[in-house]
Amino acid sequence: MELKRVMDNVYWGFNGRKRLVSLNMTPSKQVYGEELFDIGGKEYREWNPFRSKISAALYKGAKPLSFKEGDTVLYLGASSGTTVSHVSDVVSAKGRVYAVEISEEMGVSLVLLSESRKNIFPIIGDARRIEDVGIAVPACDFLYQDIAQRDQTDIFIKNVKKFLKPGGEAAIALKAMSIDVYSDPRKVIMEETKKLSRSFRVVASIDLYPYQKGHSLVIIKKG
Amino acid sequence: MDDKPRSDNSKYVEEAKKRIKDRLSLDDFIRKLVAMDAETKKAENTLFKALFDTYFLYFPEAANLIRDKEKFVSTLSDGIKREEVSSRLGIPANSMGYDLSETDLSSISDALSQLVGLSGLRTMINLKLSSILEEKYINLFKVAGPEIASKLISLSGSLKSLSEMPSGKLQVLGAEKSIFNGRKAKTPKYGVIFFHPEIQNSADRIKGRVARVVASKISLAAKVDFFSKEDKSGQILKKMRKEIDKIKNGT
Repeated sequence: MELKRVMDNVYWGFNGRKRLVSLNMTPSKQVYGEELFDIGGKEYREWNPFRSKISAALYKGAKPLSFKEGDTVLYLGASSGTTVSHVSDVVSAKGRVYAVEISEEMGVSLVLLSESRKNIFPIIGDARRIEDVGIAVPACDFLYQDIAQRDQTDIFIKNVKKFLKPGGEAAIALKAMSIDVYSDPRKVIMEETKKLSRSFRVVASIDLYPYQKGHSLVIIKKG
Repeated sequence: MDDKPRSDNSKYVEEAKKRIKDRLSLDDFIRKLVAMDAETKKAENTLFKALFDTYFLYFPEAANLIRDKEKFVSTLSDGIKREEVSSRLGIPANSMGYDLSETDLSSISDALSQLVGLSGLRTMINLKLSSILEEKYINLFKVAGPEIASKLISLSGSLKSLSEMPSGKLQVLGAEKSIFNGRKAKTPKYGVIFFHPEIQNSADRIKGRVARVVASKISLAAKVDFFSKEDKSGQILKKMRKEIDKIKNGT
């Protein structure tokens, strides 16, 4: 399989069809049953766009996200760690992923993942009130949020203002149905994007259909 | 770049484990039991269909008379051979079906045991749920009944969130598909509480109003269970009875 670089440790692989892969930080270990590839003596994991919104955005032709090897990423809405594991691959051993998840049950999987991936720092807490979380969260180079709540945009704005380094970029996976289940999703996305543009510069907005229905990834840059 | 040390997340992992251990609760166990019951029910139905179809191939004349799962199991539990079943059902033993060997018939008997086993598992799960609720959440146990109470706790996630939600929301818990149908259909009058005896035993015309009363009383029961450990179910049931009688008598 031929590889073409997209981001640090992330490649397009070509074997009949185009597939996104990330360099496996923990070779021979799978996280969620993803396919593993051995290419040129290194192991890569398939990054499935139907499971992961960042992957979906890249499949939809988005420009590579700006986080790279060695970066500190704050990930809000880590869930069981599916996408977190790929972000972990990108930032690799010298980087860090602070993964915040509110649910204990999802947290269990996240903790198990953190035992084999030493660059994932699990935090069981509410992203609305990180100050109450009781454990240090440092300034980050990139912030990613995937939280299906009505006030997701407010949560994002608050945390970007607090934790993202100036000049850094952040991405939010907006779910129209979580914000307003009856309105036209395009209108909802437009309104939330307008809200974001009042605090930051909106760099990109990508509709993730058909990989993730009703979701858009919006990327902002902090001044 | 090279002066950054390799990450050491052990402090965060320990803290996360502590928090998880602290927060996992009885309600999570209830939720898993409810899910296990639902999955066992699906497995039971799937196995029954396959087993029925196989027996139908062997003795269609008999199978045709025992299409109901309970009847199927009770008729065949004392032997599945044509000679045994024909006398039990009062029909001739010769059949247009496919003749199976002794070994094949014993395999079908094994499958039947598995089916009975699944049913027994469901009984065990529901007994467990009932005993948990009677011991820990007595008001919900008495006012909503263990089946409905377990499902409500499961749907809301915890007793705490069940006690905090408005009774209108509790009323339609479980009918999410119907709620979010938007402009396509009417909003639902009840969710899982539909199977409450008071609602089942009321005329269609007043089901909605009765559902509202039942929901508000269950909501009250949840609050009592969460905030105090007292048994106020007697008073709650009395009030529920009074309000439902008012509806039934047309006031």
